[in-house]
Amino acid sequence: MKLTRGESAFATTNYIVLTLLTLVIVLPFWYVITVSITPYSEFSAKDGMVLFPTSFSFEYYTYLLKKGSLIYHAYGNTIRNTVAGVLLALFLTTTVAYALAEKRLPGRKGIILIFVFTMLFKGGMIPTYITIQQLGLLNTNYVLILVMAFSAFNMIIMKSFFESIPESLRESASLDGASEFRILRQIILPLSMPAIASVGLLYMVVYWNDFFSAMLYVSDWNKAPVQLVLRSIIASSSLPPELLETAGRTPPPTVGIQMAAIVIVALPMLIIYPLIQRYFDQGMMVGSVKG
Amino acid sequence: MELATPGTSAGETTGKTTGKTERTRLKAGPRFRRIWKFKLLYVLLLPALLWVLVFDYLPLYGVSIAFMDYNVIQGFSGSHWAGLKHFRALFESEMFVHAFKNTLLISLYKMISGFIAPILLALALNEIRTRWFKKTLQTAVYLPRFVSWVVYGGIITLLLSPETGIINKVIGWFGGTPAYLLVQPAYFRTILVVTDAMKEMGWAAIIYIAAIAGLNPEVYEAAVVDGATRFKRIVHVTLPGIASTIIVIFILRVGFVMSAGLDQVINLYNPMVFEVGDILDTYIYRIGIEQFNLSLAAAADVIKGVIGLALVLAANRIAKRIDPDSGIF
Repeated sequence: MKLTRGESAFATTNYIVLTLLTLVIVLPFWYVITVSITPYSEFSAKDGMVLFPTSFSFEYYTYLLKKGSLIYHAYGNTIRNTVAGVLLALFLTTTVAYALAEKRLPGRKGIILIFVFTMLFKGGMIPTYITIQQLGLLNTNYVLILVMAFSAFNMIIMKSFFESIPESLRESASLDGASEFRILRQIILPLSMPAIASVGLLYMVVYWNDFFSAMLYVSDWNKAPVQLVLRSIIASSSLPPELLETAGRTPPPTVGIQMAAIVIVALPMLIIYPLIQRYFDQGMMVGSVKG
Repeated sequence: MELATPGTSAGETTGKTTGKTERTRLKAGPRFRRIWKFKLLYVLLLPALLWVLVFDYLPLYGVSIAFMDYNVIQGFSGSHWAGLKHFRALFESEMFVHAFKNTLLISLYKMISGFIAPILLALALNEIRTRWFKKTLQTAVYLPRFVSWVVYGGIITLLLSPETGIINKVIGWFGGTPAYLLVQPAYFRTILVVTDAMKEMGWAAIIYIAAIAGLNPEVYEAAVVDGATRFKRIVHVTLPGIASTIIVIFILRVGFVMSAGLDQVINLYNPMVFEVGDILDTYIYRIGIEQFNLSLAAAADVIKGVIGLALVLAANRIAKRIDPDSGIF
């Protein structure tokens, strides 16, 4: 197909604008990484402009990740909460989305409304806090796994995907005598990998990146997720030694420590999402909420 | 809500009846037989229903503390009713009025940038014909969505810092005076809007990208045959094709107007910019959790929730008036 002159100008402008936009979005991350691996001598000599450092050092990382440090312990908490949380969330979401994808289910519309209502009106921060407190969940290891385990929005993404699977597939399987449970496990779930991977990633990011639920419900540093520790590392211009257990050592300069901590905390999600990206375009269809 | 009630009872009844004997099943009417046929599906509904009951519907009962002088030690039964006292106190509080106003303003600004930018981005990405280049751009613009606001806030603070920040270096090159932008009320809302768009626009575009991918290619081919230019194809084929998606997202966003970005603000604001940057959520957190004035904070929660619900219902109604098939419920 030949492009007219106007069209090729349009295409070129489009390429340039998008490339610039992408650089603006990505460069800050590049800068964080370079600051975290540049020795302080070079960082101060170049007055902070270290987009392309000439020397490297991992002293900030070895300092932060020393065994027994708070960030090390908190990392374990975050991994535990994320793994348990994503499994629970996928269980809750897949089961209900599968049931509601059956259009002949009596009472379906009303049940969908029960879930949609939770997206439109929430009790709010304080009433939820009181509820968690009355349930005796405050400051427990379970609270950060339980409170984020279901999102009606993700359920609707999953339901839309199930609805897009041809009904004839299920019908022929049930004519062959397969039980509803077997149909779900052996036919629907393998076909639904794009949606399960996408929604699983959405939940994973929520669990990994949560700091606010932890601020609300957890007051014990031993139960704190790594985001909360990072928050206090960033907030403090001088690092409290007890936070990092640095007995007997002068802590290295703050900026480098902060950036290294950011990299340590952000890296796992940044590695995982490109691996799952190929599922997004198929898995993220937002069908109609009303079904 | 009214419509939700019959659904609940239907679900509950089947939950109970599934245990009954074969004989009852044979006697039961056609409706019951229809329900029985789907018994396994009802069982699959139970875990998630239980979760929303505990974590979404139980807190609705906790809303009552907004009308009490709630005391943690005495609990619901021991605390006294206070009527609308806390609501009056809120509207007399300068802090609350600021937070309320800021919430609306910041949401409105974010609505303009954060709602339109992803649509434009999706349309622009769709015009990229080089596959590997498109994929690379997509991966890159999604990136900030996968870090927390603790991380992104830390990065922004570094970039804007007066000593080390790159932004200040650039201002210096152009002859400006470097300043700590994050503590200046004049810039704070702009920083919120710009950084929000930078972090979220890539990911927000994905829903439109998926919608565009689902459009019928034959319509495009027909448009090409009819001599439509690329731009005309975008305006007359792509945009109408994703209109329903745009409307759904718009309605959902309107429902979030009262949430102006808690995670972002709490990681970027400081007492110097409270007057322009404090939003309802950060206000509720400080009053309720830090100062432990639970009833006053819960009253602010109620105001936030009721207005949010009213807005989303109104947006849905307007969408339906324009196009009866649109709207999310």
